[in-house]
Amino acid sequence: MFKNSINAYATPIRVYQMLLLVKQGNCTRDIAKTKFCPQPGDRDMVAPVISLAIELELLEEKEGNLILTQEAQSSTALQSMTYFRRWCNAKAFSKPTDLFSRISGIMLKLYDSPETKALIEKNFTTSKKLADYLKNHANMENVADNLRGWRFWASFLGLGVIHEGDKSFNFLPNMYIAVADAIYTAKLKAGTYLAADFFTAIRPFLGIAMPKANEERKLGFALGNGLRTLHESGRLICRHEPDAKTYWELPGTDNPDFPTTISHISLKEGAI
Amino acid sequence: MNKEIAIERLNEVIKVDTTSSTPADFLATHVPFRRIKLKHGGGLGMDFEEVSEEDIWERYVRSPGERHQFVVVQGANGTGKSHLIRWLDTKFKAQPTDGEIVIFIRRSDNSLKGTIKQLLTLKELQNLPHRDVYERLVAAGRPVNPQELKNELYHALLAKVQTDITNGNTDILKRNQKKKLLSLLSNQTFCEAYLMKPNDLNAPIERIYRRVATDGQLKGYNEEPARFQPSDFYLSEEFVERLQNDQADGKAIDFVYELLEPEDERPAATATYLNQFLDSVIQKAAGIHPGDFESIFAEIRHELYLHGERLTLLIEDITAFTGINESLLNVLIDEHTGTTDGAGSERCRLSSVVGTTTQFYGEFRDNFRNRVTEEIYIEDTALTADRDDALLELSARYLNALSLPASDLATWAEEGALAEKLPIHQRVEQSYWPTFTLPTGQVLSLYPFTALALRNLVAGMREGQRTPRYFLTDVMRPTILHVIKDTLVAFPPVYTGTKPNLQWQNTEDRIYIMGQCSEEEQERLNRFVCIWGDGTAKQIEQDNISYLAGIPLPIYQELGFPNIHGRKYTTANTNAVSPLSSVTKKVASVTQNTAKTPTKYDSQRENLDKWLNGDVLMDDRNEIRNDLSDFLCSAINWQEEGVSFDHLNKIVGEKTGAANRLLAIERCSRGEGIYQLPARLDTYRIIDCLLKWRHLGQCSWTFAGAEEALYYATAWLYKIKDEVVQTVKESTANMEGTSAYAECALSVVVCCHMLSGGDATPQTLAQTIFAQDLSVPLSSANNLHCKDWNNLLSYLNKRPEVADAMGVAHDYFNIKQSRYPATKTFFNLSALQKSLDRLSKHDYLIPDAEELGKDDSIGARKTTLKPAGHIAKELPKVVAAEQAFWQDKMQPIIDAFDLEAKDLISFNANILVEFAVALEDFFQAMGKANKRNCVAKIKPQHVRDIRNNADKIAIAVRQAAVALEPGKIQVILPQLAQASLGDIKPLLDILQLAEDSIKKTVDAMPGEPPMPKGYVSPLADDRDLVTQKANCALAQLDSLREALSL
Repeated sequence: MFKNSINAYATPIRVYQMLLLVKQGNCTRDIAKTKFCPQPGDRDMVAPVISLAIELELLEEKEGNLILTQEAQSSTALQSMTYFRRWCNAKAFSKPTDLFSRISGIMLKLYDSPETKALIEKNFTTSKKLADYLKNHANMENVADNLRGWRFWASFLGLGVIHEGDKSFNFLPNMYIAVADAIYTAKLKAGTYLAADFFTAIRPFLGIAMPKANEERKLGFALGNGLRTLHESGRLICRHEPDAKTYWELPGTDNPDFPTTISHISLKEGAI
Repeated sequence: MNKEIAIERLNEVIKVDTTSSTPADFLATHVPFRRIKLKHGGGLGMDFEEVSEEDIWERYVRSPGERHQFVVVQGANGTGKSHLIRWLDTKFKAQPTDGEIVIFIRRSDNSLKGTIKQLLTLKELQNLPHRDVYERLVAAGRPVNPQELKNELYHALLAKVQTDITNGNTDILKRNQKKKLLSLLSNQTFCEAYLMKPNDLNAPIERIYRRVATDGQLKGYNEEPARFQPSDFYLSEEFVERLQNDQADGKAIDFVYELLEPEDERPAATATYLNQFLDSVIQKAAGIHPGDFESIFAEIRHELYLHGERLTLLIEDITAFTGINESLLNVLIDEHTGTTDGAGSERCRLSSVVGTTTQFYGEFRDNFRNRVTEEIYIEDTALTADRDDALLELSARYLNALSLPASDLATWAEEGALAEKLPIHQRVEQSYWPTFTLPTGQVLSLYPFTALALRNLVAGMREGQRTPRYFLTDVMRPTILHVIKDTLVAFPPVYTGTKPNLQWQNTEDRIYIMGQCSEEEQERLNRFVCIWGDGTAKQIEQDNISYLAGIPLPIYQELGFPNIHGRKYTTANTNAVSPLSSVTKKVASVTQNTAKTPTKYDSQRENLDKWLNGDVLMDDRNEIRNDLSDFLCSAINWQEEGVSFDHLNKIVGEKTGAANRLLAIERCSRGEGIYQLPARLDTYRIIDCLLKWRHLGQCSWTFAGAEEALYYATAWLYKIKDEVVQTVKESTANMEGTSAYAECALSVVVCCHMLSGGDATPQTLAQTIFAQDLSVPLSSANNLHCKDWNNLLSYLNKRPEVADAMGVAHDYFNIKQSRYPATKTFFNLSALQKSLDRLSKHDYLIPDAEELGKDDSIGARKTTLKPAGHIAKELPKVVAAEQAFWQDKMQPIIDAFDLEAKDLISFNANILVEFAVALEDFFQAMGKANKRNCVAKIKPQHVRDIRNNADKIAIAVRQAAVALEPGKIQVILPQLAQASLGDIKPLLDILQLAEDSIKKTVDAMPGEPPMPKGYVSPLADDRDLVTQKANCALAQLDSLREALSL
């Protein structure tokens, strides 16, 4: 998603609205422009929205007409914002080399090492340290513009929470919603899973937040927070069985009920 | 605890008045007084010695022999004076002494009359001379009507003051002051407002009455002395005004002014002055003649003397019945040796032990105090004594008595009530519950209490009420009731008579424990850990039992708490916590080093800690609320959740400058809001996270421990998000998800659009309505519309709310990138279209618009409702008026061209061209007839205008015709707006001129010159016929032409 630049005009709800209009039929770019942006000066916002909808494989343009893809028509993606979000979560990180994935990979791991923690300042959209780091590590330009667009989707997809207040701007990683969506998309049924199997199942959707296969089994702060929130809300149970051969490490927490290492994850019936 | 027995026995064992319990229960629950102060004589000396209750019994009560005694037991209310005296009575009965008659006189019967009544039942007095007369005398009750008795008290008091003014027997007030006081006391206003204020139990006369009334209907333990108090005369300036308005006696007003003098002791002097009359006032009002009873009592003593008996009176309480007590006191101080009084030269010895409050004892007259032989002072009780065991023993004894059948204890009492043989009930509760061991070695259960619970509950009782009496009613009874009703899952109860400290030793412990418990259970767990336990998260192992906060963990399970665990401590690294240990002093902790200067965070955290423990959260600058609000505003994807930023901004006061109404915090010093954050740990934690973010991280999440705070903040958000969003949506009337105020704004916009002639087809409206800048149609100045139409436009142009509505309709449906003002528009098309579709069904009108915001607390959401309501009310009338206006305008055309109204819809330009030709012909005819002057006002230019603008005029006529059709406002209104009277006006003008010209012509016709030569006007033959034809011709041009060209 967003291969080389993230256009802030293409916010999640605008994409969703575009798809709802197209769903009604007889839609062209011009019709969409006229309807969404009655003032001609605003109509440059429409193209990025259409592009992203196409990128998400929900929309296509045939002979000047905008139509829903076959997949979109046959899926539940447009039933509600929640289904739309699940669809987007299933697609967002399918190409790890895309800019959205590259930025997400860094932002989700900000709290995982002293080096990246040092980048956290009062306002991440104006932080020069973070901008420089992103330029190099995410191979990107126009950091401020791209970050402005990234935050809408990071927040919508449930990678974490945007906290804005008193001239500060922060991203608080907690993948509660993203993990829940990944479990849904991976069609994991209620039951107990080896942590390894569980993570293998959700890796296609959350690979950017997980260690690579050859790295040590240590989950980052963002994913750990997501699992902890799911655990504390009773939607799943993380535990370490004493005789388990493999286990995953989680960042330490203040909750004595939440393990710091997990070998098994149990999903509750109907909880996801 | 044996619950079955406890249910039966609760009301028997736990009695407010311990003296009314059975002797067995009394003895089984009696905790010995171990520290009683004793002084010889009733003077002011302070030489107290400390004695036990056994000492009192042995030395002064058991066998005083021939020694006359007047022993006073004093202490504060509820300290146990009655209990001690009852115990002495019980001891007497258990170990009677030959020749000693003991009478126990209860509080309810502590008059001399009551004493005599009891004495007359003694067998020794069966042969007392005149016994039957005495019996009748003491048995005679005086029917008492409360109001009558109060009036008697009042008038007796007035009489006393009046007498004193005359006789001058007292000197507390000067004579003229007494007169003024009498005037005030006699004043009806003063009487009603102060002295005998209706329904005020503390009004002086009421207070005195309640002590005097003997009808047994006045219950309770109001031990306010029957005395005037200085505060009874603290009056106000307003009261002076009232007296003046009521034209009260000047002396009364003067006296009130004197009472109002600052630093003047007049109120105290007045109270003291009146109090000196009270005894005789009460006696008079109660119909008591003390001398009679004193004589009878002397005779009784003589009779007992003759029988070789001695008399001991144990009087529970002599605080009450002021006036009546005096005669009793008179006989108590009367020694059996000395002078005779004629009633009998020889009287039995009298030993009396009298309970009284310290306050009342202070008012004893000197002649009574000087006759006191021993003064016993009960200073502290089982609850106030600085020792745990007294409280524990008291509790354990009551709990034991509750679980034993009354018969078991009765048998024990009958067999001498030996301490070591006290029956002990069989425990049925878990062995983890604590116990108390009596000095005899017997072990009593403390279930359902712990030692800490008892101490904490007593500590929470109001000062002055920490007495066994209140302990039993306010702590013991509600706790037992809770347990026997099998409501352990709600245990411990919420107490009303005690407010134990619910503060933890440190907040981290609280968060640690509460985090393991559901929200619903947190308050209960909090009560349990802080009252039953030591308010910590300490978990230790002792003798293979885990203790959390000093309470065995199995007890938590028994009470239905979730599996919780504390922070592990070994007994080596912490002081062992015993379930029976005393309360350790709880200190509100602040995580920072208290030796440092407190930082802003420290002080805010302290503020927060206090709030969690029941204080008000101080947030006078709204910093806490604003930070919370900012967090929610930025963290929730409002637009994706279906809440427009315009709506959110109205709630948070963005742009409007109004107060932020998103959030309210329970018990906060400031702020109202639509989403309530309760005074619970969850709220505490999120506020603490944001305090850290602001003060420790300087508005960043970079402080020590930021990860945990950040985690909590996000988890809290995910937990409450749906509820917050729902609350916001439901905080105002809405129409299938769209806020009513936005729908009203849209109604205003569409109506303005229609009034401007805009098409209102819902399918295209969304894109057309916002294509241009929204504006209100200008009102026309040249009467092109009806008056109502112009009035409505004038309203729309003048009202600022209309312009606001334009902005709201746009902003509400605009999808923005932030909640701050946007320069671009990208509509939320689905929501906008849905609203338009819904509105179109009702002609875009919302008749109940103003009702929709009736209860809305947010002003910014109300501005659009008024214009929408006004339009909905006026527009149908305006349309009707405008149609009538157009019908008027169109009538000349209909008449001139001989049309039906329905024909106008197809009005053709050709008609006008033909009309122009006819006019020209007409001019020619008139010229020929030398009557050109009759049509002089119709210029050739007029005719050319008709001919040249025939199409335009015809279109305007057709448009007006459509607008005149009956139909929906949304169809008619744009047509009415589009219909141009300006375009039709040339036709209307020329028709008017033509009509005038024809009339003029007709008038000029009948044979009048000038006429062309040789022309004979056919009209001359029959003038009336021609006139008629000409008039008809006005409606039909052909006829006109024909008529004129004849």
